[in-house]
Amino acid sequence: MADVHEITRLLAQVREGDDEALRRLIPIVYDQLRVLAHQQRRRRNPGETVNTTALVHEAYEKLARSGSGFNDRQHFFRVAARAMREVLVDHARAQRRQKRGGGQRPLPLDEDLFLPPQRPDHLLALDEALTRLTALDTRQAEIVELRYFVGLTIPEAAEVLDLSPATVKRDWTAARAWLHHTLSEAA
Amino acid sequence: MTPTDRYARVTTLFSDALERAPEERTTWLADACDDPDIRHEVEAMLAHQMAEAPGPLDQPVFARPDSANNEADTEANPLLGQRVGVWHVTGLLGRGGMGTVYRAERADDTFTQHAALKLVHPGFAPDFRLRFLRERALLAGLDHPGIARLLDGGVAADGAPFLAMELVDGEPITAYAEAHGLDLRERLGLFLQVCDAVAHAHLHLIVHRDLKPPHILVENTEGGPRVKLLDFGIAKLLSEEDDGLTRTGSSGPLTPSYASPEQFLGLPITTATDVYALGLVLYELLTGVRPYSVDGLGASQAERVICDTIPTPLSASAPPEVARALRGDLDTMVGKALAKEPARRYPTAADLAADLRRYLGGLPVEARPATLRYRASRFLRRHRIASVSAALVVAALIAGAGVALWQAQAARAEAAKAVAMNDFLVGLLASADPTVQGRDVRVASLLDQAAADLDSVFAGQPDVAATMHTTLGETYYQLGLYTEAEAQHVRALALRERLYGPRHPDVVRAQDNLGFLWVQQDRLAPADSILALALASARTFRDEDDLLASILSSLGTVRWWQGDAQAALDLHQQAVAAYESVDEPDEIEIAAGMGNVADVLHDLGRDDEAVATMERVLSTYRRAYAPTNARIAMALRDLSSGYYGLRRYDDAVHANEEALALFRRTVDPDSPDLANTLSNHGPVLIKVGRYAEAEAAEREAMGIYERTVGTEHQGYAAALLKASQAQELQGQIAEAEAGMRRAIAIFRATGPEDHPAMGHSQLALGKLLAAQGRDTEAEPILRRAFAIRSSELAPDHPDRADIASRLGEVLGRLGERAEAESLLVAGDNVLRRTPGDERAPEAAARLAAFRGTQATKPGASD
Repeated sequence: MADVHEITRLLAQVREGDDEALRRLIPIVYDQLRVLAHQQRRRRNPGETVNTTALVHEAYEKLARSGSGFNDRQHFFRVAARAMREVLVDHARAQRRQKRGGGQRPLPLDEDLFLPPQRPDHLLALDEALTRLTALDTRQAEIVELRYFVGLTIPEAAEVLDLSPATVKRDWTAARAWLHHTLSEAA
Repeated sequence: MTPTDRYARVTTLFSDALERAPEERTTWLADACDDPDIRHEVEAMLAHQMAEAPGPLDQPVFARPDSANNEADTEANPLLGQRVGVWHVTGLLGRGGMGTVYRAERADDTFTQHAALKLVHPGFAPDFRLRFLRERALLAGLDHPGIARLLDGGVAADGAPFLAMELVDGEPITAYAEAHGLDLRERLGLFLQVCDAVAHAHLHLIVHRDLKPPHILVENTEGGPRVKLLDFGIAKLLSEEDDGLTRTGSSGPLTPSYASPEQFLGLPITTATDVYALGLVLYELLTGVRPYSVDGLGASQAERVICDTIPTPLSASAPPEVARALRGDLDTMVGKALAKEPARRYPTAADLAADLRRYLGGLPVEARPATLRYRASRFLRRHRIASVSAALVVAALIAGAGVALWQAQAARAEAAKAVAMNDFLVGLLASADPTVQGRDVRVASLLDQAAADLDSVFAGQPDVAATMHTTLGETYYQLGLYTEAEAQHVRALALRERLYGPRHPDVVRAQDNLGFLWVQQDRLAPADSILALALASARTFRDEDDLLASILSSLGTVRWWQGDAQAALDLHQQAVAAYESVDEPDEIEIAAGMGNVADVLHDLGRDDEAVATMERVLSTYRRAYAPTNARIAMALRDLSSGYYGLRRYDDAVHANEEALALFRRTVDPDSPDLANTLSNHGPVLIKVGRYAEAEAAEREAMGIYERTVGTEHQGYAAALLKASQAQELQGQIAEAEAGMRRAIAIFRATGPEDHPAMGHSQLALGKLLAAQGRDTEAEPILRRAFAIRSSELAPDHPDRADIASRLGEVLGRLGERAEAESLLVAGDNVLRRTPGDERAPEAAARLAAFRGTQATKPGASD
């Protein structure tokens, strides 16, 4: 697993708007989530799947306890949400490729820990719509990421984004309606 | 306008429109916005907002139980005289949280059929129609005289779903039994009718989910009273959790008072869920009260009561005239039906009925008393984080396949194997594809299909088949289908034995799985033999410490439940050592193992070592969890009790104070954890002379109990007793005496006369009275305390000796000199030999004082 200080440093750069740092951070955070997911599974019954929300919280706590002085909960959750989204979308792409017979590359196995029981096409359509939403309203898109990919509640998302719950609720309602409208137009 | 600005305008208009009444929105929008394009988009968004059908975003990647955001529209409109479908509404039968029930009739050419028509609030069951169509065939299969038939169902003109059911003219079973003054045998006979009806449904794999007296009616017929069950399968039809390949059981139980732990925690519902509800009904039928009440409690408190609190035994709740008959077998059988873990209950209603019939026939029953304590809550707690749902079952299958695929690759097996397995799974999932089959393929039948196909699909690849059987076994286990789980594990074991011979790690892993399953089912003898076999093999492996630890830990639990604490200790210690030598040791796993060790050490009376082990567990938790994690607080609280037992009172104070501070920061102010810790804190503070603080802690605990469970509760009484003791030490004798008497009255009303709490509280009062020189009042009270405690303590137990000595003192002063002397001498003898007991000098002084008065009273000696 990557050095905690590396994560802390990259997070600081993300905070300053460095997109390259975000790009490098995602695999690291994902890697950490994967390790934790494995540990969670060992600790519980083998058949149980992983609860993403609990996982991201645990990953954060681990980081915060590491003594690196890391306490940027907000940015960690934002990065984790992005990481979950990318991983799931990549996975869905691979799955779709495979279904169409475009190569026999086996599934990236660790992702199976997170694999949602959703159809890849739905996830990819949502991802596209979400990318469009990001261009129109970054904050709304980020709220959707936290709610949908990490499963945060409205108050939790408000805390991560440092907004009032009322604002988050209002944004979420609008984003949800817009996405549903956009997805149904596309379908 | 840039796209961003345009979208901001759309969002603002949308949000503002939402704040207006639905019928005003279009007009308002036309006024507020003159761009038809934008208006069109906002209108489309509003339409989606108002649509009842959930969209993709309402099914987050991994749903959480607390994320339900359904706003039910709960307006009901009376429909008297109107038509609903083919039904003519003729009267009102009742209203409930979900809707209204009407009396209705359907006039056909030939006959008139009466029905109970249940109209559900539209908001409750958004995709009701779909579900109804799906379930109708299933429910129509229920054909039993004890089950009210489902006649019809559909959606009324105004969109409200309705169900028409056979009209039953009877009264709830509990009311019927009271009104007709039924005796025990008659009540059991009626209850057996209930069991038989439920058993019929269980045969068809239909679970009622909401059994309670109002759903169990008794009709008077020519052949005697007949039971009719209402609303079979309806709860599922109307519940939030469903199909969903995505949502977990979110809305919680329909009727918290009769909910099982698994319903409360959103875990899988099985036939054992109905068995739990039957246990509650039987309890109420036999005693007239429910084993616990959650009325008016918040969710977390109710969870505590339902999931953690072991209910008062049946016989202790019954009126004295029937208590005797209920003691023994009936206590045990109801206890088994009410076990917190589904696996420990009777698996189906038929099994419960069979045991009741054995009882009525004078045969030995199958249920056996839980002789050793075990932590009821552990099992469920461990599971709840993952909140198993249908969705996760499918995900688990995939994850399991992932492992198998990985193993296939690690073995450099041909890629075709992996592809075959993948195809199999994809086929399985396709059959669960919501768009293909109307959103619900019953998970169990999905699994059954997989189990049936497995061996032929993988005929040439027994190793892959074995792995899939294991995964299926684990999945069945999670669904509470233990028989099916067992069959899968047995099959995996057989396949692997044939492939690898008897001692391969994969064979042993299968043995371990089977052993674990049997331990969970309390089938100790078979678990014992297979785990012993697995252990012998595992000891010869290298680099399989994880496996070894798992076997050792299961076997340790077997020994403990068998009553062999010494062997359990040895095994749990070895398990910890094995967990520690895993490549990448998992601290939490190690700490859990050490927790088992500490429990057993405590059982063995080796408190020093138990405390040292608990200290290590605590320091692990401090490392592994955030400083505010509740587990740290719980470990501190346990540790404080350990210190108290060792008379390390300062340590006990510190540990408890830290636990309290943590609980205050992390739990709800009326949490039972807080109450319980406060109530433990009083005696600790008394030991270090901080009486006023002790009293304050107990008063705070009393406040919580009073607000959450009321004052007629043992927790409240215990805190009151301790507060009174602290008052006595502060010289407030009259208040202390009143408090103790009130505590005794509560204990008497809520538990059996010989409950240890009755001993403790009467001892406290007796001591107070004796200290005031009110010996004639003290004597009978101390005698009762002595009798109660003597029945449960060994003759040489220091607590018993202490009471003997105090009773002896009082008797001596009352002139009962012979009895006084033998008690004083016996007490002194025992306490003298108990090192460090602070009561020893007092006992010696009492004996000396008695002998002193003897010397000055010639003629009293002989």
